Amino acid sequence: MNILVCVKRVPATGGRVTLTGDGLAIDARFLSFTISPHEECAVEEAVRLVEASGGGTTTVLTLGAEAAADQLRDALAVGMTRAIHLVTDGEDWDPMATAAAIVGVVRADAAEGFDHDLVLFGNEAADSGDYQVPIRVAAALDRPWLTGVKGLDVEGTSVRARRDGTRGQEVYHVPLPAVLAVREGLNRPRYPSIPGRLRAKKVAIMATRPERQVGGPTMIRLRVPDEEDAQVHVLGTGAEAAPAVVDLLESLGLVNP
Amino acid sequence: MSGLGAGAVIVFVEHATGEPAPASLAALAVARGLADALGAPLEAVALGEGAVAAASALGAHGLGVVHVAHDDKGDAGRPFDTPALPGRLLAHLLVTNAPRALIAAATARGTETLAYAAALTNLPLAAACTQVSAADGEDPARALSVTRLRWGGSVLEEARLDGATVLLTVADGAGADGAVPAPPAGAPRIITLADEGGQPDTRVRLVERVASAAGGVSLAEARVVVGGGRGVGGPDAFGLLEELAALLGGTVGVSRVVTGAGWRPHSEQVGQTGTRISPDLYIACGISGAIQHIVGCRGARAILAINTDRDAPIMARATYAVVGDLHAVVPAIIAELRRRGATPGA
Amino acid sequence: MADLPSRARAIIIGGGIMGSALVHHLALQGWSDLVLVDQGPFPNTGGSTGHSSAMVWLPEASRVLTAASVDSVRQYKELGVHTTVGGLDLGRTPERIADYRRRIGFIRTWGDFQAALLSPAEIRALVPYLDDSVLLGGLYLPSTGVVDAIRAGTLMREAATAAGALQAFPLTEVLGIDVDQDRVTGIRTDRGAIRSDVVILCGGVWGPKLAAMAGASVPFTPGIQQLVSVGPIAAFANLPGEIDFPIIRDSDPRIYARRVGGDMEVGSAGHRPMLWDADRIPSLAEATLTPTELPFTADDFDASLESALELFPSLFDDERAGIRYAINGLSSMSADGLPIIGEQPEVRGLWSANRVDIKMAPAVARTLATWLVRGMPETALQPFDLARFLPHERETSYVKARATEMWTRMYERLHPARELSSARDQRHSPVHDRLVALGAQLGEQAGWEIPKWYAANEPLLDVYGSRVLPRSHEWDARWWSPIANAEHLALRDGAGIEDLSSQAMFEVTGPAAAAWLDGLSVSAIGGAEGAAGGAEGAAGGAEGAAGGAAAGPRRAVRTWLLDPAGGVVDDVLVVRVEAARLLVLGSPASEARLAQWLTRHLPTDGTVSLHNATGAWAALGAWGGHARELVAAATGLDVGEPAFPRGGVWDAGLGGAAVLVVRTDRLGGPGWELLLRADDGVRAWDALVAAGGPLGGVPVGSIATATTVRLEAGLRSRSLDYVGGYGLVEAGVAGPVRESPFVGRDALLAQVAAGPAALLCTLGVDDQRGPDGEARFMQGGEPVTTRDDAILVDARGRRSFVTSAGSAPTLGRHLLTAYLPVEHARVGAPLAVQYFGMPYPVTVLAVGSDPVVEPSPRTRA
Repeated sequence: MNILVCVKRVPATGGRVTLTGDGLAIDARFLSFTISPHEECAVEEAVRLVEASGGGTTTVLTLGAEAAADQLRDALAVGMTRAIHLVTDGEDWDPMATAAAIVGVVRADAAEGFDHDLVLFGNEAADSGDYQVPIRVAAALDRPWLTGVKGLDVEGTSVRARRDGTRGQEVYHVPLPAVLAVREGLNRPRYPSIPGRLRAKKVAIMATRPERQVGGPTMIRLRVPDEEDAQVHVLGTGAEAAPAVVDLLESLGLVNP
Repeated sequence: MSGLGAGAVIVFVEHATGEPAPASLAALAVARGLADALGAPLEAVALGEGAVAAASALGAHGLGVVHVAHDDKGDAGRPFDTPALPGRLLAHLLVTNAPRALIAAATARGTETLAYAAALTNLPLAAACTQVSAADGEDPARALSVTRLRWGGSVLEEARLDGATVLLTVADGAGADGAVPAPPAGAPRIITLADEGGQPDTRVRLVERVASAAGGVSLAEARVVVGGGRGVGGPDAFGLLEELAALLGGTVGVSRVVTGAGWRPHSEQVGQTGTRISPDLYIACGISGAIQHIVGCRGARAILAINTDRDAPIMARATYAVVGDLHAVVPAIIAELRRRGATPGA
Repeated sequence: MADLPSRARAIIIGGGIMGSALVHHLALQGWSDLVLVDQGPFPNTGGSTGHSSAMVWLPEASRVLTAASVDSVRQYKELGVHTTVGGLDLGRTPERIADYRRRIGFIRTWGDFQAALLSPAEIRALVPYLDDSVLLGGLYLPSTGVVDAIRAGTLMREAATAAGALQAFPLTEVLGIDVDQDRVTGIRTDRGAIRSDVVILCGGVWGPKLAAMAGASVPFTPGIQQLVSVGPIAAFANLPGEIDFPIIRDSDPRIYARRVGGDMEVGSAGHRPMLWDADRIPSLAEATLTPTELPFTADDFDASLESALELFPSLFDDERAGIRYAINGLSSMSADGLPIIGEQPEVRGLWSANRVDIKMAPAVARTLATWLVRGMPETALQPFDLARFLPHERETSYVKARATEMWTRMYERLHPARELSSARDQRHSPVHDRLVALGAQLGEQAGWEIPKWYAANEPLLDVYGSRVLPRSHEWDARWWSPIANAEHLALRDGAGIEDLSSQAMFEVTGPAAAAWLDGLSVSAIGGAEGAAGGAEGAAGGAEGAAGGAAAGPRRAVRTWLLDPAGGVVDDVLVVRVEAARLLVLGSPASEARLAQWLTRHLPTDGTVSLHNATGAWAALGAWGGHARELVAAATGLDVGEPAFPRGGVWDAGLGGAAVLVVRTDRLGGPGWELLLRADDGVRAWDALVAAGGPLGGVPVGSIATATTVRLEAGLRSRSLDYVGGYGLVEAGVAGPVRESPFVGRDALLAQVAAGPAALLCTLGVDDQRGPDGEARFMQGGEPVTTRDDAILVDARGRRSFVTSAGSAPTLGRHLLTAYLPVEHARVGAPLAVQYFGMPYPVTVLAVGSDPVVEPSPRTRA
């Protein structure tokens, strides 16, 4: 089968986030970059599915600045075989423009004989959290879609997809070709092997500069929420603090003495 | 402008057993604020079995008009069993009514439904907003200003939403304060959504429900969560945390480092890409406090951090702290609980 | 946490391995009221110690580093944090294998270390996962091990705390260092201020920032070394412990690999150099891991991955073995790759201990603690002394350029005559253009560009033919030319003109100047009255004798400066120009050490003034068979005895310039040094060269003067012969010890009384033919053995090694000097030297400072 996975380059944040002076982006001076977490699982799933199906291609696609090629290499290093880079000047595109550009790729691939049975996305990008690109792409292509997928099995021409529901897990029938938005927990993504990394270096990434369509919403600027100034109340140090902790538990009504 | 609700602010209300869901009511508060600011009517839309009952209840929240569909019982009353249908219904509403805004709570279902409606109508959608208002210096009929969550809420984005008709989802926690008092109750007018005609899109359909495992406390619902991070050191030492959680009638949660290392299953992960928890107390052991983890536990009423590092980022978010090694502190807490014969609170 | 004390005996900033080891040793040596602060948490403060692979190779790359590693390993073993696993240095090329044979020779002189050259099959038996098909062999160092450095630091801090000597405060950020009138008075932190007049910076990559708080600087730069961890490794799944088989180092791609539990850690020194700036180091809060674990740049590591895959295909060619940890690790890099330890010259009481690896830290800590507590550095620390840096070596651009070059040359086969190519042309002699015009082949010492030989002398090769002892082997001929030997012969037959303008020169003035210098010098300098030195008999050392009637107080004396333990600080020429004005002349490489030593001993009452005049004077040397005639012709001075005795100082004119003429006989036979103002240098050079023409005078480079002529004359090398704790007695240059006090006198007397356990001898190589018949030329450092290959060890356990080596064209032999146990120190003793693993027979030609070649009758003045 052929699978297309769409990924986004995001900073790997740590314990605190600071913004650039102009408030337009995260200050990533000391941060490394990664594929957004849900999408890492999408990449892993695609590799597994095609391995299991005994044939086909996996294509990784990103829309982003030149440096996002690193993320394509990371995906290639874990087994994806084809890579497409929609190169932008680095500014975040809104979800409508992003979806339009991705739809363009799917149609262009189809014209070249690459029909993707599955287009996989992460449920939402860790940074922008728009929750809509997968569905917009599906709607434009008039393909069946499902979001929040945490488990899936390919059964011939359809997929059995699981996700959390309001009362337990829900299992859906999704006929192929389809668009799925998956969540972390779908699988445990593998790390790239050394041969994988070295193979990835040799793959030619197909790069183009797409036209940016008008859409929305438009980001004006970012800001960090005000932190409450409360001082943490230190109950004690080491094992000696245990009585104070249990006193707290009792006072919160979490245990009955 | 065509039909009723033109230029209105419409809220998509989720419901259960005939009552509007609390998240939707919070979204309603935000929507009301916008409607008042715009001088626009405030309406709601509810789908599926029980929608009419929920609609009536909405009268108490000051709604005069509620659009409903699929209030039937049986298959016809469960539009969400085919995920494309609710969004399609709302898309039809958008096209026929051209409201100023369609707003929903940013639940999984609400988000998905509005995203599809936006996709079908090629309208812009701002997800996870904390506030929406007229944009400064702009015509409120064409531009709105929103604040929305990035990084699960660790960063806020000021954005502009352009267009005569726009969609928004409202983030959990927004609208809790500053709620505009509801006008006097009255029975709302209930309008059945016109049928779009044609075959409904049932390509994707629910085929099975798997109930949660019997017994045990779900992470999302637990009153007490005992969390473990890198400081636990390996899969074996989690037994300590499980023991403590059991004594407190709670459950174990973990950080992304732990699931990434394969020590514990992803179902236990607390964080932006895992589960958001809202216990009365979250005991974070050996967790440094990455912002994505904080996103997952900020709903906790109180946080107790146990960490050797007094300056770990989690300390800035914690209510209480014990500075020490969890491998010494947790057994001591367990011993003290046993010594006092403590049992989980009611 | 407890409050910060308001004052402390000493404040140590930095709780990594260096700071932790230091507080431990300070406490052991009796100091208390110590305070250690670190901005990070314990036990892993977030510095380089935390992510280091903590390997301790034993032996190390040099004698000094090995000695420090031995001491450190002993301490780590006592702490129970050291695991011996062995280390394997791989060899992919014949040159590398040959180099391992050479290293094994050096190792034999450093101690009883195990070291063996293994075949590929033996390597495979030791490390089954290694693909030996790419290898020719390897050097196995079984004593190599790994250390849990974080645990070691914790134990050392805890020991000092338990002894009541230390309070340690993590999570305490230093905001400022207070200085008053160039003395440190304390620090300010985000938790309060602490007063102390001793502050020691052990801040790792934060060192420059900390020093700057006090208005001081430490010349090193942070830099990146990448490492990754790959796993799970299928073959390690059921192995116990953290590590079992040896650490592997592959010196050509410059990677290393060691097992860490279920993973294989691969580090690289083979990627492009990536120096870093102190202001690009994230704070603890900004860093995702720690401030010294920076985001990995994958592209830079790919070549290393390929090498790793090539070495360990069975481990790494496995899709399940993932790269699951990867960092650009930050650590400190200095211009010469060595630690930097000492008291900051800008601020008294402010000390730094930087660029100290885990393998060195406990040893350095012990020595530094001794220095701090007792005020006297052990000579072992001298190569690491902060005071070694000259002004140009403290410039950021220099540090970066050299650190970059040293990075790219890490693990290279280190040639003893190696020249670096970055940051050259720091200092030029006043006659530099003349030297270049003569085709000078320049080598660097202390930033000076110094001719080793002159291409313009190439026609001399035809004159001397095979007497120039040509070298055919590429290694032996590096940074060498037979022209140097031709210059040597031409010097003997005619005269040699040498540019000495790069020598270290200090002017000492004031009413007490001579007396002061006299108190530092083995030889008498003479008090205020003048010829007192003569009245007290011979000054120490054969070269220092004033001989006949001295011409008043103007005298030049060859002497030594000793430290209180009797170790040789330097070998200098003291020229008394006037009663209250003297010059101290040393080699170019001595400048920093002399500056520090002289400054440190300067009296504070203003009776002596010291001025570093290096570079302000031009200096020329005239040596060789017709040197006397050359000087006479150039200056018009009557240079015959008794008017011109050794040690004499005269004013003259040279090429229209005023010159001070000093007869130093520095190369054995009569020799003169001419000192002038730098501006007059070119004029004087031209005049000397012109005068030399008809006499067969030629410009000569440093190989001829500092090596070959010196060796034939039985003279000591300032830089090579006083190492290893051998003093003047064993160097064969101690004469009767004079009565007047001088620093080191008691120790020297004790050395004389005890008698030598070894003596520095000159040996000639009897047969230079190597395994394929090619003549080989030892370079220095080689072990000296009996003819049966038993290493020579003296009664004090010191092993004999070649201190310097060079051609003796006059004799037609290759000469070596070495300290031999006294029972072997006799002319004619048959011995051997091992070079690249092969023995070569040698014979003792001279003992002590006896010349091998007597000055010819006509050259005896």
